[in-house]
Amino acid sequence: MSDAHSDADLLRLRRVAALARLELEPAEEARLAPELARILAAFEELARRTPAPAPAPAPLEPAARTRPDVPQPSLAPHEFLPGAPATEEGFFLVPKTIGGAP
Amino acid sequence: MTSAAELAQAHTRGTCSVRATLEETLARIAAADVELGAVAALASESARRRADVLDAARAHGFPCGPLFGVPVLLKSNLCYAGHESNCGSRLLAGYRSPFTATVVERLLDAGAVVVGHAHMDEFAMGSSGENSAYRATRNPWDPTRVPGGSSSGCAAAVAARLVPLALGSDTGGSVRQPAALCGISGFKPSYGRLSRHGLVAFGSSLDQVGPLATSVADLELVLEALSGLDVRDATTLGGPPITRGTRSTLTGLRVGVPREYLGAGLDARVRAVIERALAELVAAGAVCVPLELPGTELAIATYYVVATAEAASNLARFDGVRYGARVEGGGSLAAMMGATRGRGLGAEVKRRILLGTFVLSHGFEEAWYGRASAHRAALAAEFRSAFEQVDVIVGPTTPAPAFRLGEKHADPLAMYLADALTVPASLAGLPAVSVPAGFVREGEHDLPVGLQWIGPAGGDAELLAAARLFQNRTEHHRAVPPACTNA
Repeated sequence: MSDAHSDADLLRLRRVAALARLELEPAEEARLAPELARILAAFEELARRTPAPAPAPAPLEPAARTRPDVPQPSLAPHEFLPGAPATEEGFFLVPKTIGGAP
Repeated sequence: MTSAAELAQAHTRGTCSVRATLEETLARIAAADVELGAVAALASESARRRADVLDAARAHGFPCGPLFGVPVLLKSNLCYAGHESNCGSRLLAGYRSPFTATVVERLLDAGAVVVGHAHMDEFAMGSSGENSAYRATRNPWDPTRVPGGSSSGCAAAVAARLVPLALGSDTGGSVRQPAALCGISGFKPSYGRLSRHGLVAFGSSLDQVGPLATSVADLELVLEALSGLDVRDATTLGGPPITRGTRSTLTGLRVGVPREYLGAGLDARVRAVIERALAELVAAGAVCVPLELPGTELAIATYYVVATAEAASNLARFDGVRYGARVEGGGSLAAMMGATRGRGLGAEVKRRILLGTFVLSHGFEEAWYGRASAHRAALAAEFRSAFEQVDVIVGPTTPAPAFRLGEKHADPLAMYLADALTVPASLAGLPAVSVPAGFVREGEHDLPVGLQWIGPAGGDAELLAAARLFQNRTEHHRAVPPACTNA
């Protein structure tokens, strides 16, 4: 594979990893960039041989169904808070999203 | 070990206590699982408490359910309140669900005793069990080989007769493929047949909960106990409760045999086993009908586009905020999420998230996800047309018997091809069951081969009835791995 191909594969990987919010080590990038390219090349037959896309099917095409709109018992905070990465005074603690460090 | 049905009957009659069965089960696991690596975590204390309650209830004349006192192992992506359901991932280490999955609640309502969680490929992504962040499970028939995946621990534990029953999940073959490689029976119901509430999502248009057992009769027992509408899962099918299929003979059964399922890439020894199974069906009065399902050729590509797209979306929640062991990553929210996911997720999960993100990304979605969806619709139409001519479709569950640990681990495409024969039924939402069909000899070991039966959508009960009638004419499912003959 030429260097130009390798560079394009790496750029594509970095763009997708950023979209997926995945931090990759340089060694992982070096392994994953050609792997992703190889997998997509193997699957290219799908794009080449399948005609116009149709809407995604539901496997059994079930009718849309909703449950009755009545209140149901729910979990109490003390039941689910222990599963949170961080809590404070009965609330989830999340990193600062506005005005935090860049 | 006796079957789940026989155990439940023995407990109900009082021939043996639930507690005694549980203690035997825990002892077997303690003795055999160090090498096998099937069980991720035991729920010994809660299981003992429950066993005592069940024994007391029976003694006081309370009714006993169809799975009364049967020890069951859960795949680690099924939630059981208070117990760790880590999905085989480092990112979810220590995660204890505050609620119980509907299928697990129904198992308990039927009298089952949950003994613990089983190892699995991380987030159900894998065909060998090697993608667990904790340990790779071994195949009881040959410990140098994989048990299949992703329900690797469930299949190995049932095959090694540690437990009579396990509950796994099947997105593209994750119950059927390991069942085939371990010589047991494993069932993926029709899409919507069993509730997914409390199953950690991978590919939402494909995921199904599925049981693994030593016989089809036990799978039928589980289907009856677990199926039905669940208001907490809008995709569950309504209708009357599922009861055992009524078919009583294989005479006249129209068995479709797709040319593509016996084509290139199939191990010659596996082909010979499948041809013997087909001959057995004909001897029983079934009629084999040659079929063509040309869409099969692109099924792997279609599946890995659809499933990874859905996985990329579903796994976005494991970000260190909503779920997952948080890793601080330089101050910003995006950096924290990137670090949490980058360090918490394993190689295969990252690979699939990247693939899924790519096929959904701007400028590529129509060419990849759109076309995969179109091909999926065409494949489902091929199956509908085929089921106008036949009652069931049969073929090998896997192209080859169990491969060696490490043999395909570095080659993702080779690993994906292990699913070639199971993904078509998943894409079409059809019920499919793998039953033992025989063995191939590999060095000093016999390796199991599975026969896959596929039925029309919603035809779960009749499919299992036909597979049971076949199984009752064979002895393959009674064979026990050499190291487990004393179990």
